[in-house]
Amino acid sequence: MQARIVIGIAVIVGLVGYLAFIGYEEGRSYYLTCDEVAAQQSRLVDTRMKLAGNVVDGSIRRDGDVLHFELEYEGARYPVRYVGMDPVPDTFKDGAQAVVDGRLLADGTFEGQKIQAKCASKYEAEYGNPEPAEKASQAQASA
Amino acid sequence: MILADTGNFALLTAFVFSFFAIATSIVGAQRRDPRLMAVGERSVYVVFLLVAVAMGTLWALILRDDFVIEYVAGHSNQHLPLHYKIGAMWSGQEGSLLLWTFVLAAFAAASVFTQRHRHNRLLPYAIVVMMGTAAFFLYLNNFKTNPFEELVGITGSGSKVPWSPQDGRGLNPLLQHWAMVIHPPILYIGYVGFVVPFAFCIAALWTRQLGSAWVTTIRRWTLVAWAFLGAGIILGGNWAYMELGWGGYWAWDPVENASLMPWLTGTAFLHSVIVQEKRGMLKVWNVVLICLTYLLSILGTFLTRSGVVSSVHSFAQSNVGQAFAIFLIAATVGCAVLILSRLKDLRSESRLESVTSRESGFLFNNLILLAAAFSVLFGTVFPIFSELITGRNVSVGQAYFNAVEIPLALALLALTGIGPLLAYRRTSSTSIKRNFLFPVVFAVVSAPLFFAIGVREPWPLMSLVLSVFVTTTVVMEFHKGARARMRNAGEGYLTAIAHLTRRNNRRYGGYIVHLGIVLIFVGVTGQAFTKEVRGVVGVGEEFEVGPYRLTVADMTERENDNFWAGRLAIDVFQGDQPRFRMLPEKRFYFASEQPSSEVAIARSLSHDLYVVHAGYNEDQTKAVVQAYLNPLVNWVWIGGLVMILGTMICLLPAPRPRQAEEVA
Repeated sequence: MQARIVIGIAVIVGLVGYLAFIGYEEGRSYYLTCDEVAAQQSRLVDTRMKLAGNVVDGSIRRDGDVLHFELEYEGARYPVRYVGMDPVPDTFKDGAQAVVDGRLLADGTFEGQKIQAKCASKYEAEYGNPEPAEKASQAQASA
Repeated sequence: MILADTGNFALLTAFVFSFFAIATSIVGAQRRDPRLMAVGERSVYVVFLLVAVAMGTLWALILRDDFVIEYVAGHSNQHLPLHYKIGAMWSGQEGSLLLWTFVLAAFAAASVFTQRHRHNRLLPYAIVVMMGTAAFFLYLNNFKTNPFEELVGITGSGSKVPWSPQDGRGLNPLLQHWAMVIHPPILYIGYVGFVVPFAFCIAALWTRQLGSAWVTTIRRWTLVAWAFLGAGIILGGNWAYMELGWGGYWAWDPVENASLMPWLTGTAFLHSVIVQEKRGMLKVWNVVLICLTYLLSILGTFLTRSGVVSSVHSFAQSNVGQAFAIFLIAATVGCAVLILSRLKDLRSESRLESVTSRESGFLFNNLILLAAAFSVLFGTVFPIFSELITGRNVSVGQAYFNAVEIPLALALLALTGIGPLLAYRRTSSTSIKRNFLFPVVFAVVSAPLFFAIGVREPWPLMSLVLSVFVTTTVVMEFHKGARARMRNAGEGYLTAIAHLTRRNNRRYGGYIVHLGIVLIFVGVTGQAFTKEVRGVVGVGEEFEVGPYRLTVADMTERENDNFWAGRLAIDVFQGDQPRFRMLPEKRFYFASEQPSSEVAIARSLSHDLYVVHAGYNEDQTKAVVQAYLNPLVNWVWIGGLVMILGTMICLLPAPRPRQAEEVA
């Protein structure tokens, strides 16, 4: 009796492990900021990844169904072509922190399928941590 | 700053009193001193009152537009409508952690209030656990994420002065939605509610009183927490569906996963605890499951609040991560040590006799729920560990979750039908034949029908066939019970069903919850058939989605104190028949300088037409319109309501013994 239960448990654990492995192989993607990609660009061509950075001010341009913009982080900058079906999130705008799911092409542009921009539950207004200098100037301005 | 000082004072005093409650309860219980224990109980009420004062103070500050308070300036503004100002209270880290503490203190006070006269020897130790948790959160409220911090400016001479901006930054427009006003409190009642069963479980382990006392004490608390957590998850999905504008409601986001994991282990606990009540088995399972549920609730709050998991959240740095990590590790080690040292007291009173028994049905249900919880956990925290171990941040993505969770969910759905038909100890083969004949026949017959109407993919087909199977088993259970009553008591069919449900409320309430689950499966299955079309259209132009033809009738603008909106009027035709008009908006909120899409949804039981105003083309003459056809999606919300109804039936007071015997 106990043996049958143990076999049942082993089968479930085995199956879940197998499914997890399949899903992992299919779904894994690197999460890299622009500067991390720049450091190893040649190795990453055609690899599926999530590219993170800030949207460069004034770089967003719509061309028919394709959206062009640039993503920048720590001095490294990548032009992105967004070809996905979903509308871009409302939070996506100049200066937003964005994560683009897609792949790096050989010519150094990034082809995106999905865009996420700074999420609602973590949205904190900039008043949260003003720099001391900024505070000082604000105080003087209001004085 | 009398208000803010009041809030700070209340939080600090509550922190001190939480320790006082712990000390008096422990010493009182050790010395069996009823007066000291009573002091401990009253200290719990004091903590509750003080935290309530702190909450009220923060609300007052928000309503008074007191922008010198950093939190108020960051999450509200003068022209924010009143109901959103109320919701602004829990829209950021400081406020929502205060809400956590408040809900915890309320649960602690309520459980003390209901248990105080029952000479419950577990109560002092349960107070220690609840107040220990409260002390940790009050530590965060006081010293890490204080919601009463003032904005400080530095004058030219270098001295600090309070500084207040003209207006606040406003509430994030994505949170300006009715579901987001009530979602956090409901979800938190779910998360925090599990602290009560956990506390009594730890108390039982501590005092080695591992009989049925603690199990019966916590049954209702667990059900309430579980129902609120489920409702919170579904409300969150509903909010995402109406507000985020991508046509879906679940994306395996870390924050969503965080709420799902304790729900899964909580569900496992609700089931296996029945086996302990009836047969004195699975005792170790039960204590492990309730500890896991508690730890996953804390972990969920940690994941949501710390930004430790890399998605979009990785940018957000927070100062509570380390404190949470230490608390979680300490609590995990504590639980493990306590359980291991009490293994002898947790021995099973009977043995599993057969694979085809109710007990083993529950056992497999538990295993699958646990497998689901752990595989979700694995996928959620994978990026953290991959970065720690390999230095590379690798995430597993939706493909992983779909590959693992869909088969597990379907196995669970099958067990939802099979389990209740099995008898305790062992099920005879004749009863298996009798009980399973109709459900299996119905399910088998339904398969080619679903195939014929276009359900060709294996997972959706299996999901619908299993839904038929489970529905048939539930309907048969009600029918059999009603027939018996009609024969014995001479009642009419509907009266018989009503009495049946009332007299055996836990069993039949449970069946209704199962029906709700089936409806949710049906709704989720509809996602496999979603259609999505994008149109770039000017006034008078049209495009098609499924059976509908969408024509832009008008493009207008409107404005109020809170936002500017570009509005589309879209006339929807089916064939040549005009059907209805939809008004999606693109809004721009002034205070937060954030755009936001207000989607238009035409709902029906068979499908939703979901239209997003996604912006304008280059020269602003045409609108970009994203239209989705989402089959069956409303059954997810209906299923959620049915689950709540079923849970409420389970929560009804037990019928009087005489009535219960009548049925048995």
